[in-house]
Amino acid sequence: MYGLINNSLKNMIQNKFGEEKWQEVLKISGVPEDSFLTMRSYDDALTYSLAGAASDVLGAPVDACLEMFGEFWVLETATKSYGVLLDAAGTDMLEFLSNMNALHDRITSTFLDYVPPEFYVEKNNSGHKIHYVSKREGLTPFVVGLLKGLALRFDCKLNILDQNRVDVEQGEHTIFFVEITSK
Amino acid sequence: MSKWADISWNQLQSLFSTVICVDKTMRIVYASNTVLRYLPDLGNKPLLRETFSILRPGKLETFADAIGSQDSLCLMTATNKKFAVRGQLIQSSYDNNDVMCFCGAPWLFWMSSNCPDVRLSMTDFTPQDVQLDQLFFMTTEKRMVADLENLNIELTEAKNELQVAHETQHRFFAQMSHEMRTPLNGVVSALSLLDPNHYDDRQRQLLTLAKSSSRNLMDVINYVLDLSKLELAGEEGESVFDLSKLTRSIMDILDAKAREKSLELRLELEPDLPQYYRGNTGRLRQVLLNLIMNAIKFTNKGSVTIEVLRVAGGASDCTLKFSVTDTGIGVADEAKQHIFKPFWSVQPEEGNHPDAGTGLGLDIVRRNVEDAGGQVGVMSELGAGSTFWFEWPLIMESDRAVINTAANQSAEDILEADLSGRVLLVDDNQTNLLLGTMILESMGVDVRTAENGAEAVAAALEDSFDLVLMDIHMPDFDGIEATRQIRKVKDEQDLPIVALTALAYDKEKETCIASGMNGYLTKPIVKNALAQELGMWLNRSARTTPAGAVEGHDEDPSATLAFTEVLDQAVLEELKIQIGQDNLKTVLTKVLTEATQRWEELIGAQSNGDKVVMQRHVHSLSSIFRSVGLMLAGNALAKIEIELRADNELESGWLAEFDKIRAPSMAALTETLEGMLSSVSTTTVGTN
Repeated sequence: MYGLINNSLKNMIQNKFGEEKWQEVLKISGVPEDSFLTMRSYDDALTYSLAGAASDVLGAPVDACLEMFGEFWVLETATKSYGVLLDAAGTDMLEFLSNMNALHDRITSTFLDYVPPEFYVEKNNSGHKIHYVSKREGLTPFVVGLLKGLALRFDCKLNILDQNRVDVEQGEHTIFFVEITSK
Repeated sequence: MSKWADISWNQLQSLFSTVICVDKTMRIVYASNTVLRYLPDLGNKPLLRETFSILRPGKLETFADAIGSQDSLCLMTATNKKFAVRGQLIQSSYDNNDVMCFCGAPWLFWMSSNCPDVRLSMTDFTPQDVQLDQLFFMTTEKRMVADLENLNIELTEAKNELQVAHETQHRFFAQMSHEMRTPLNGVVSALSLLDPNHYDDRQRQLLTLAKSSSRNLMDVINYVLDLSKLELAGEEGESVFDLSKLTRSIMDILDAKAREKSLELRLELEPDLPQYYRGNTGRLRQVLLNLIMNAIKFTNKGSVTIEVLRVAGGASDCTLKFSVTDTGIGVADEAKQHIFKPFWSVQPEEGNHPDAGTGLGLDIVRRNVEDAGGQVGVMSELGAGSTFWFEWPLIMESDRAVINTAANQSAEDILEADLSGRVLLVDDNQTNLLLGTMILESMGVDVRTAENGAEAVAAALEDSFDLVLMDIHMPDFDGIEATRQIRKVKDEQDLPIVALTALAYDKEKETCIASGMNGYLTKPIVKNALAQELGMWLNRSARTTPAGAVEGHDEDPSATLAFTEVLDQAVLEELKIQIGQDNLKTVLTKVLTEATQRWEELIGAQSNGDKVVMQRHVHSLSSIFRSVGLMLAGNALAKIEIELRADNELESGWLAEFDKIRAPSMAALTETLEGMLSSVSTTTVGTN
């Protein structure tokens, strides 16, 4: 993954838990560098090591850490760094989710060798089905955090009714059954 | 040649979010939804120029202009300043009429900068439009630059912390070395005063062992101190030196050692070598001393020859090659690659030398040479002798270079001269006082001692001395403070004070000079170096009087401030070097005239309450005074200027108060100028 993600994870731990905790995470993870360059591609294993170490240090399950990170990503990193693009991607949550693929298409043209996830939205009887398809594994909790962060961003109420996993050859495909209502 | 679009209307709309068609009268006859969302009032077919300001192409007034601009980028901003577009013009048809069709998208960068409150949507940009990608890239690039800047800050901070830790460590080593060296000096000196003839063989062996061990320990301590000095030195001061005198003075120092072993000590300078050079004399001297001392140490028979050649250089710089060749024990081939490394020394089985030393001297040599930008090496044959050489880059100086002849006087000359005088030796260490007194008295000098700063000040003020040798590091009342106290009463000419300390750092030298000391001498006391220093200060008649200095100036009853308090002679000396004495006289004459005139005008402006004029004169006077060394007056006016600039009220009577500085300053300058003029007239009489 790109340094952008690792930096964001670092910022989250520093902001929410302090520099000492970050140093602990870094030490436990065995990651040698303390600084990551936004545009440099790092091995995915490094990000997973950091997430695992954060789980150890913070005493929380990895899934909970990833979810917290997803929320932080939307509300802090993406909003501060790419506010204009987020604004352009939609004025409400559904519009934003519908434009997620287009947004990732454009990211792909900037971050070379980047393999983006796919998102698509289906209307169903009780609400919406959000499909998350990725070549990577283990990041579904991160997407849960993203969805919760987006709900906060657009000031709406998100209810994740269920989530199903679809068998795929590589990575994961998760379907979220959600209700999105205005507050 | 006209171009007609060969794509369908739907295809056009799919490719471009922003489409605007104008007819032959340049009225807008069609606008796509994106345009209408931001500019809803286009229904009555307004003229293009009424709706948009056209930035590019330069001329787009007629339909023909539009046809001719098809290959150009088209940039238009809405006259309401809430929308802008970028794209291209193509020929097409609408409602069966020929139209020029603008195809493009909202101009993202313009809108982000000029109307950030207008929210563009991703649907305003078709997938092929790279504007959003560019925005994404630029944002990311900004983050990237921020990353690098942060990294740079982190690295700089880490480097600074490391530097501080490094310096602290070296200062600690230096301090510890100093603390160890003082008592060890006592041991080495005391052992050297014992006469071996008074003891039996066993005792003599023990004495030899004690001497050799204490010398080795001293070498190690000196090495740590030298290393720390090298590490902390930074931009060590360079000076101009006379090569011949420098090398001869080193020979003088070591001649006795060579004679002890019946060795011939020779110096061979390449003929026609320039005389003067600029470089780090102290380090060059140290390197030569180390190499020659080593050569003497490892040579039992024959000679030690020092040779100096010029090996490279241009008009103003050159590299000198110094070689020290001995007829000693030589160095084995396998040892040559290690010999400049620390703690390597000749092993008894290799060199069969009873006193191989610590093996640290050559490491210091290498470090000094490399620090000066040179290189060092050795050629040797075991049993036949060695040549240690090094190359040292230097700047050549003309013969007019300023050379302190006293400082280059050879030690031998001075030792041969009849030294007489009275010296105040200040040190808090009894051993140092005892040894120093012994050495000084052996040179025919009358000595009085003081054990701390307070005693030194009292002695210096109540008694008469030709020189004070002042230890710097003393508890409570150190040498710097003592010097400052003495200088309040006796200036540098009345009583020379030379620092005496083991920590020879540039900053310390600066502090010594700033406190009013005349010179600097490194401990332990080396007789020859001390002799040179004494030769400079005890031979009062040989001392040069700074240009313009007038004897008896501080007896002027009209001046409340002493001559040296108001006038910094060093500034005038520097000016004299830069512009020559004749020009300096002209400058001083002008300064006196202008300063008097401005002073009168300043008084006038003060009485008129004209702060602008006051500020101008205060500024000019401050600058004039400082430029000729009247620092007290210049600095006082600089403070007044700050007050005037801040529009603060000045204290009433400030002029009278300042005049207490100004008057003696002007008197000192006048006196100096008169002194210069009278010295010229004396010379003129003499030459006639």
